Amino acid sequence: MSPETLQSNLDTMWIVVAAALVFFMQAGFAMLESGMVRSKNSINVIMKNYTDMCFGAVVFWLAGYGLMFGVNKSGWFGTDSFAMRFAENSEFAILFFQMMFAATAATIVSGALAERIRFVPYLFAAMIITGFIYPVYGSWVWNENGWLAQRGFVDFAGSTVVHSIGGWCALAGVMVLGPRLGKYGSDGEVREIGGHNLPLVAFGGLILWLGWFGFNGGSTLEANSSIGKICLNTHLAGAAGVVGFVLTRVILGGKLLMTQTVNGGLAGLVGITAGCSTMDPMMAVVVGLIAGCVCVVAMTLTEPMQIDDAVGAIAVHGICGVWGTLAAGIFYEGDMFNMARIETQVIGVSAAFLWAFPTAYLTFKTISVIVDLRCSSMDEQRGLDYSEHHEVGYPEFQAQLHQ
Amino acid sequence: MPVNDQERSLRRRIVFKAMNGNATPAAIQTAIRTLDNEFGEVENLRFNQLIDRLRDRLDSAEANLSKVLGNIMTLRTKSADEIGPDPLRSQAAGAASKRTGSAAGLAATRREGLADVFGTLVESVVSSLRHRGDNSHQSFLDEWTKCSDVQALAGRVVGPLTDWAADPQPDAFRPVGTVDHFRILVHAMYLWLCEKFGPVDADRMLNQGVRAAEGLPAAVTNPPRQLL
Repeated sequence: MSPETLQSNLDTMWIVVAAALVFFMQAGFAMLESGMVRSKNSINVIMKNYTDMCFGAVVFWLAGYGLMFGVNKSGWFGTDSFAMRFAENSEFAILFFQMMFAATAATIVSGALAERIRFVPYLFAAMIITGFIYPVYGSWVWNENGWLAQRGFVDFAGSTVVHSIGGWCALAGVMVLGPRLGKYGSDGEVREIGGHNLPLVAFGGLILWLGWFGFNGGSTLEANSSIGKICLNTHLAGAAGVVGFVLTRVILGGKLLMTQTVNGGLAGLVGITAGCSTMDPMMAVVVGLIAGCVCVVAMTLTEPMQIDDAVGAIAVHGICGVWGTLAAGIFYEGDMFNMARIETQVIGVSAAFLWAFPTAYLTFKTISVIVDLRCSSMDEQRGLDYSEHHEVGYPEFQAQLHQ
Repeated sequence: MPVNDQERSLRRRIVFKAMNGNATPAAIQTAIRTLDNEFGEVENLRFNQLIDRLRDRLDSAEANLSKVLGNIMTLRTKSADEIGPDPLRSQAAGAASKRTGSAAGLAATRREGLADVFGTLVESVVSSLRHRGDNSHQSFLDEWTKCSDVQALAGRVVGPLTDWAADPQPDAFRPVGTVDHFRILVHAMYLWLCEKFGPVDADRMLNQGVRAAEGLPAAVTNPPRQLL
């Protein structure tokens, strides 16, 4: 076996292993999100995670991959490689890896809309996100002819492409749906709606953390020595995210909630995703620390605005994704504080918002005009496990539910 | 010296609440007979004596007797209205229905059982509100009876509701209605609770109400969760 063949095989193997790690993040999302909602909605959250990944995989194979990585003469979207059947083995591996990324973008949305969106309309929205909104923006950044790629926009593993896009789609969905029943009092009081299984939230957060090594490490798309630094930066930023979160909470005098601490870690991980390959470890720690603070501030600001995000996805993925992408330009190794690069980063994150938010808003609004996007108040009272799936997550407590 | 009816009723309440809704109608009937026939005249009833007697007469798995004694000891320290309604009323209605044997009689019994279940659920919620000590129970009753969903219901439901709202006595709220009527009322109650206290407290109070109603013999044929 020639050294080139050996390297090619190793590359493929690494991409597939990394894709499997990213796939495992779906388990993390499912645990984190279902633990953060009330027990009567836990099955619905799991179902959304499970099915958006499956429908998303098919839609991404059919349309998304072509839009994202097909020949892109205009700089705006690809025009071939739809429903890919014939290609080099290495390209199949990349399709497999990117398919997992696409599912992640949709899953971010599901958590934010938990406890009040109907299942089938959500699936439609998830397919549009996976098959259109996400890949079109992805083509701007990760297709070599994309207009942002041509400008030198840096987003190595998707702080903006995956996380902010998911966060902005979530924001659009939340605004169309409105808050959960009773979340805000008539005097503007914000009511905490605690999750039903907080250990599950912690385990979900740890699984996501593990998957992130594949998410960032696999984005090299080859087995090379840079993976070590990328994974180290990823871990340091996640850890610093928790440190930053805890310090900010202590300084501001708030309560140190475990669920929010998990979100602090995720904020650090989202933050480093764009620049994990182009930063030294010291800067990764700085990015994570600031991401932890940004997460606290973002969650504190969105609550009084009556943006009812059930799991904090908009703050963690949307806003910390913005911070991470800007940081990738600010702390670019060997060329820090280059204003031209920072300007490109600002253009990139702005473009992400201007593309994803209105498109997703239109999508959710259109769906809500055609069918009921939001469940009835009676279903919200009963819980979506029963009303959408006719199953209950905890039969010991709910066995006689709605006979 | 024979014990009075109030004391008998209290004993029945304690025993049936202690059975926690797990016993079958046959087991409940046996317990009623045991209480009235063998302990009706006993002034200072020893409840563990009663349990021994019940154990002789009932299948232990059916009546879940291993837990009943502990439950009885706990319930004895509570006030009558915390324990729950007297089950004898439903039993008497059931017996009347069996005597007539008619479909109309059975339907009437079911309606009455449903009213018991619904009434207990609502009373539990109002009791929770009353314990807050901020007059929110009165505010709830005022708002609830004005709610458009409730107003849209048949007068036979709204009438007793309005009377009871004026003077919410335990065991006094038993309006006649169908499952759908009561479901609408419970939902209107849930919406009000959500608006006033948030969904977490609303869920908790509703679940407490359901658990209270599940302790009734009538809950065997009219599960309170069907009202949710």
